[in-house]
Amino acid sequence: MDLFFQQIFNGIMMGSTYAVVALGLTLVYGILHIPNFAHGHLYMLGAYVSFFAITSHGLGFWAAMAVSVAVLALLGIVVERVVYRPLKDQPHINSFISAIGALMILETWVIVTWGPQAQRIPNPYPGAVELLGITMTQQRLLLIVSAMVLIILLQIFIKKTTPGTAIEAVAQNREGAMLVGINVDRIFSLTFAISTGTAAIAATLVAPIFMISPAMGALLGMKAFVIVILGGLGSIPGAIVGGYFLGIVEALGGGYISADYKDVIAFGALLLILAVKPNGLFGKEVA
Amino acid sequence: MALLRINNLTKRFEGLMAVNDVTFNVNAGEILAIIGPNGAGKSSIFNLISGILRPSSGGIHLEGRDITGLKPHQVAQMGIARTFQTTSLFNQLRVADNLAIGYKLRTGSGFWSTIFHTPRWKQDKEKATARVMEVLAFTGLANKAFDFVSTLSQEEQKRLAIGVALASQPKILLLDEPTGGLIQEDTDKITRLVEKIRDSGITVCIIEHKMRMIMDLADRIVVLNYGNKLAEGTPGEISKNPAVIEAYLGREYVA
Amino acid sequence: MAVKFIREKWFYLLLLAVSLALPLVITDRYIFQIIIMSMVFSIATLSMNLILGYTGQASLAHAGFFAIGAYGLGIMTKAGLSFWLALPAASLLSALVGFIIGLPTLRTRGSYFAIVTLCFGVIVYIVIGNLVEITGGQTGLLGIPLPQLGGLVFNTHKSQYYLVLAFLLLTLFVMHRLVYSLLGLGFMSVRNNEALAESLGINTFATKIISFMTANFFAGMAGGIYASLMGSISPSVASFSHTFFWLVYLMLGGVATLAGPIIGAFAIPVLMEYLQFLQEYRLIIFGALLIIIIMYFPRGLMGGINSLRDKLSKAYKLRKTGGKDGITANK
Repeated sequence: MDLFFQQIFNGIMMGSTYAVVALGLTLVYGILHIPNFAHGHLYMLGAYVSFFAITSHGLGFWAAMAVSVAVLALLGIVVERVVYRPLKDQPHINSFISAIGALMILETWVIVTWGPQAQRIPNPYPGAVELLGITMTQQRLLLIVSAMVLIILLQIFIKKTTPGTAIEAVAQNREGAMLVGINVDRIFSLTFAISTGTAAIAATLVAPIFMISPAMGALLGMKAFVIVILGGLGSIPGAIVGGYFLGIVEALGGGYISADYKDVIAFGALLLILAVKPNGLFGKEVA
Repeated sequence: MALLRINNLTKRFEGLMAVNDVTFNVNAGEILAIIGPNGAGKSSIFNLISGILRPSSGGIHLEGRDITGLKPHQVAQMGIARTFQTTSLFNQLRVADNLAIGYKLRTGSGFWSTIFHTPRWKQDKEKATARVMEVLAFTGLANKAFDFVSTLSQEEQKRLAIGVALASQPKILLLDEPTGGLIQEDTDKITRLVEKIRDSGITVCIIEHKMRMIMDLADRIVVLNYGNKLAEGTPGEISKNPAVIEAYLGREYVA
Repeated sequence: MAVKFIREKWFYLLLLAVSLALPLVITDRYIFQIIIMSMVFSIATLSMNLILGYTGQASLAHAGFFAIGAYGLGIMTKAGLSFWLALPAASLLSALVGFIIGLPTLRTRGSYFAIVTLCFGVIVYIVIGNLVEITGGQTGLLGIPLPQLGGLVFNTHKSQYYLVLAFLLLTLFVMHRLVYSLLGLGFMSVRNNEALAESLGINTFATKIISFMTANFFAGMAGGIYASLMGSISPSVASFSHTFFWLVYLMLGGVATLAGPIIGAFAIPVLMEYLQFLQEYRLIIFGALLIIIIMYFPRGLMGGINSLRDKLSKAYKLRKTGGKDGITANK
């Protein structure tokens, strides 16, 4: 029984990461109507910027995260401007190809700069807590709490602030938003910045728990896509629920069935669901 | 003789009744016009007939066979072809290619026939070439056969779109505002083409806004408003129908 | 009749003659290796061109299907099956897996298909790495026998060259037949305007499935050939970097042309050799190149040059004929 709760805890932890990353992805998907294939790699870069800030410049954990957020937010804006905006009237497949070029650049640059091997970020909160028979390391608890705070903040931002409402408006109807005077270009930049910035936070929080490597982006990105499709494109609740759901299912599957194949669970689920509901779990009928 | 029967056709979207219990027939060999203000449900009816939308209720029968809810490619195979309000073509390809694609559904050679160039494949190729030439001549686009779609004028593109639909050898052709945005001279060209199509034995159902054109062209008219059928009859009957005059024609119609 | 044939197709016959004569001229083993690999990757790129270039579907799993063919063949020939049976079998396996993947995903919007195929590629990598008893896990499959025909073992560069050339010509033949036909127009109609194609009676789902399965068949075939010539393979054959490179070959060489993939598959490795000094930065350059090409030459570099040539020749013709278009050949 202890194993069960331990897995649940781990599941919530991973789910927190997934939820935040999927949230950023779905926000961008909502306004762009195209998946940002580079999202996973930007997340990976967020971890590396923090790593660089901590190990090469001796910054504290939180300071490093702030740097990472700033850098990634800026990079997100650049990616939108350089990779996606010139292709907005072209068939979607062109944007996919452009994004692939971008992710290759990111991954290769990281490999060239820091090498292909895994790296470690020192754990800022190494202690652990025993609760209900579960061992909870402080870093993991921090991740869960921070992620939840972040998600709540984002929800408030989207629903209660003007820029947040503008993002929703652009997601629902780009032309309509333009007509009421919303600067759509700026909204695009803002959304991307939020998307990559939050990914940087998630990546930095996770980094001390597992090691970081140039390859970590691809796998996480893939899961984020699965979550977003299943939860519904552009749906924030879908991304959050989907993220935690996947985290828990993976943890239980990995713990009880097979650790090697836990990454396959997401994919298998995706195929099965798409077979039954071609527009995703919450997708609408495509006319 | 009714070629196409629309019975109690209804389409509901969330909170919007696009088409409400509409019933009418399209008779073989006629030109039936569907008119009505914007948002009356005209294009939705076409989308329901051609299979892009599934009806919420009601039925569609072609030559007595139930085609309700069939997928678009199945409806096309049964003999209904259509054009779209915004001219829809294969703009990466040449004119002749566009027409050949229109005819493709009447050919039967598949993957293996294509690889081995079987006699069937050769036959299909000849028939396709012949049909393309036919439609090129019929629509007056023979001199543009190998041009890319983007080099055609707006009117030529609309003519091509009609030609592509014709290439499929349909029993009935649905035209959605084929003269949208065209000047009078070009509108007349399209009108003559539509008459030519009807004379060649194909039934035509046309959505249009240009009243003078419709009054001359159509054999019968169906009037829609807010998703409901308001009236059905000859141009003469329609122009005298008080409900229609009040809802749509008003004082803009010059008899 | 034969004279007419030669006169029309002289360029291709010349190419054929050159390619047949090449091993007599080249002796350097290293160059041979590059050429043979380029030919194998040409097959992979040509097949990617079918689903991506002609049918407009973003299949990002191509390396995954390449890997299925490679491991399929490797496992079968190591178990004693003849190369000539194992290769079609492995290719068919790839096609079949493609069918299973395509069935739920080609019905939906293109983005989903792209994502699923991207995921599938990763999954293949993971699964291959984990099925240690069957695939050798991370160490890989070793000791894959070379192809044999009767008594002849394909263990020289010359014999391997002709073997791969034969398969490349076969691929070209099939692609040519498929693409220059109503079926090919069907593929392109799906790429250009899927809704219109549907309304014209084309079963776009079936069209996409056929294209996808065929593309994966040849991807698997390329993988099988690769495995038998390399003798050993590891999960890296499923790596996304392969898909990436083939995409670069395709974009550089020319999308939706038959020459393009081959040109790209040869030009880029050659370029890479010259750029050796740039080491890992090569990938960054190619990534940037990909972005630039897709923005300014969405039909690929060669395709862009082609259409430029078309425009120039049209302008030239217009001037010559005083404004009336002549009928230009449909090729």
